[in-house]
Amino acid sequence: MTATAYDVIAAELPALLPRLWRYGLVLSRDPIAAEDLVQATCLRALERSSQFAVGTRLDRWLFSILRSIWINQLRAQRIRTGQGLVDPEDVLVTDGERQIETNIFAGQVLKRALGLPEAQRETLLLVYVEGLTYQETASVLDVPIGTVMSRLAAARLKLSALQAPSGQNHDQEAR
Amino acid sequence: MGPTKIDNDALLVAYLDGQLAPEVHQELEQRLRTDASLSARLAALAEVSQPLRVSFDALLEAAPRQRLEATLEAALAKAPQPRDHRYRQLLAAAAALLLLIFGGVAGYFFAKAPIDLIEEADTFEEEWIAAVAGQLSLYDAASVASIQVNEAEQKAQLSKLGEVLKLDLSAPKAALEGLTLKRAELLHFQGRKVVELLYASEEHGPVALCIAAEPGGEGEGEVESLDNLNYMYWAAQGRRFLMIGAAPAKRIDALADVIAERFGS
Repeated sequence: MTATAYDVIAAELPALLPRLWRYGLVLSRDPIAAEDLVQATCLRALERSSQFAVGTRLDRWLFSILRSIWINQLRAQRIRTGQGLVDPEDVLVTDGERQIETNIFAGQVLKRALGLPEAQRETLLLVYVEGLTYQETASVLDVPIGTVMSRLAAARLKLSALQAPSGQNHDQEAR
Repeated sequence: MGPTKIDNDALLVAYLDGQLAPEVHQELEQRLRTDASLSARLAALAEVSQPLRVSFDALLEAAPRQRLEATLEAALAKAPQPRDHRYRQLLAAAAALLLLIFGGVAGYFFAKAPIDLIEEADTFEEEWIAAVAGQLSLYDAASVASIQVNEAEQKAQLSKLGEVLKLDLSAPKAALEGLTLKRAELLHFQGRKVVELLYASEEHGPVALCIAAEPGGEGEGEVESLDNLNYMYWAAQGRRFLMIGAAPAKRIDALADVIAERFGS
């Protein structure tokens, strides 16, 4: 018998957990909320396994699920309960004491990236870290490719200001 | 920033990312050779590509893998594999055929019986044990030890839970030597009531005793393991019991014996 979608998901999910958590962290900027997102994503993916087409990329499918849970449930809830504002400086402290270890420069880039507006930081993650094409990113985020490009441009300009603090006065925001 | 400039930036980023169509790519290279401000803009945009991946990969290292895996285990228990309908139909056909051959025409009318049995097969035990194991693996010795206990509240809670189970669950009955009762809760699993007593053990970390007022079910009569936990499951007098923890099999066995003796074996 060939493997069912459920089997494929159950077999491949364990290796994908850290990447899902990272996406959850980039969206929520809160390690605990990121765990909640992974939990809800696992559950929904298994419950809706029949909607996954075996042979396509599972990670992309899971990213879409995680994002939709974030948009539809957690984000609104966090904003309502006043937990929506997180200092990017605090994001990197995972369990209360242990600062995520990076070299100083990488740490600064990360803090800066996490300080970007939500739409920019997730686009940045999907394209430059997760390696999705513009087309795949546009489809996960459900926006036109042009929007992906302008978000990347805006994000890159803000990040490059880190390396050249006295550089040109880069324009902000392009969404 | 005017729209033209946004377009330029977006174009430059797509150029850096190698995502432009060949003819657009060439055209832009042509412009970059002659337009100094455009190439300065490109340089500004190009600065950050490399460190991003390294920076974000540090986050993967920081992911709480064990907790995430426990979360997945719990999700697997909660959303089990859907039954394969084709397989079931095939089975139904096979059962009908067998009965027809061996039992004559009358067998046909009973052909549904084996399928109904399969359909209703009791998966409660398995799923329940997996769910408790998933939950328990979220605790370590320190987290369970840090739970504050109010003795008066705990006493009242135990008596309430005892009523639910129709069992004498007073403090001495719930006490286990070498363990500290930290939490007594009424939980629900698949619409059934489950009482969970969570204990801290200095030696082994968290240990839980779960009791469901659910008749039926059969235990193996020996300690089994799941992930890094050992457990003993048994059914007695219309209730199901589960003793589970990171303690060695011998210890779980001994604890289960004490409970079985108190509440019926």
